[in-house]
Amino acid sequence: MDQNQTTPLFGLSLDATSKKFLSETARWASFLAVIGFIVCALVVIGGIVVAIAASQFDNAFDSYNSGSSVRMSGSGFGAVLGVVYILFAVLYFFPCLYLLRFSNHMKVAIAAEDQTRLTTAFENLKSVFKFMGILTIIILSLYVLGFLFGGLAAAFS
Amino acid sequence: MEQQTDIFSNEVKIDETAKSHILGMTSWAMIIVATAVLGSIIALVAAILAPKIDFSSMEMEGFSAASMMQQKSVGSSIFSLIFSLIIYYFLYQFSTKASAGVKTSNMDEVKAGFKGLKIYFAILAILMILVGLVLFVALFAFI
Repeated sequence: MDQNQTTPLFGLSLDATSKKFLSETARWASFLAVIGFIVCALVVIGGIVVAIAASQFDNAFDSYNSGSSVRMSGSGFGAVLGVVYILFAVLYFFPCLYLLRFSNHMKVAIAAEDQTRLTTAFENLKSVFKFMGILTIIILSLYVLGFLFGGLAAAFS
Repeated sequence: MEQQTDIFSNEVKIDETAKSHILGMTSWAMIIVATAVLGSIIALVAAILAPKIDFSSMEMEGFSAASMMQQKSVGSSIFSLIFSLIIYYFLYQFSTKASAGVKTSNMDEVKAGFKGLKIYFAILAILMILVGLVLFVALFAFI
């Protein structure tokens, strides 16, 4: 195959324009990662608050309901919701971490012309895309399953 | 700032390991684009085909609640589809251009891919800022 004339002598070298694009990408990635960490922290706090509030509601409901013969308690739901919140935060933490690592390595690689850092930066960005890709496939699969089961339920009802 | 143009200088290159990482990245990026756009299309189809709930007892100034909810759902699905097409176009651009550039050792194509990646991240960041501002305003509106 004919090697393109834009190919430098020793393969693909990053010129000034590429460095500028990658540097700006790293800056936006850093911003997104920091916002992501803040969102993770807020979701964890939200999960704890929801779990505490729901358990207090359950206690109040149980004490109100203690004299009744009918047991209607939603105990455990708040805790489950809190755990779901925290799981979501943990799940969201990893792509943010990879994104921050990409950003830091890329900034240093461009500033110090460091080949190893550049490779590590690309490796981390690949991890971000891999993580997000797997996540979107799982979400889409759940969505399609819900759509199919909903359609079947509507058809047989 | 002086650019290093000397071929014996310590300039950074996209070596074989970096190439394999970029190719992996572009493959996953394409999967993300495909699943995200497909998800938006399915959401639109689901909104259009969703069975209408009978809210005839809840007439609201001449419009039934069911038809209002249906229109809102279809409208938001169309908005979501257009929005995802705009955002993921740049990720698609990164995926196709960077992949082709790395495979054919064409730096111009790789550059075009990096540009798409930059725009994709910039749009995501601006979107985050807008969502944050809306939430901030909403928080103060409720207080």
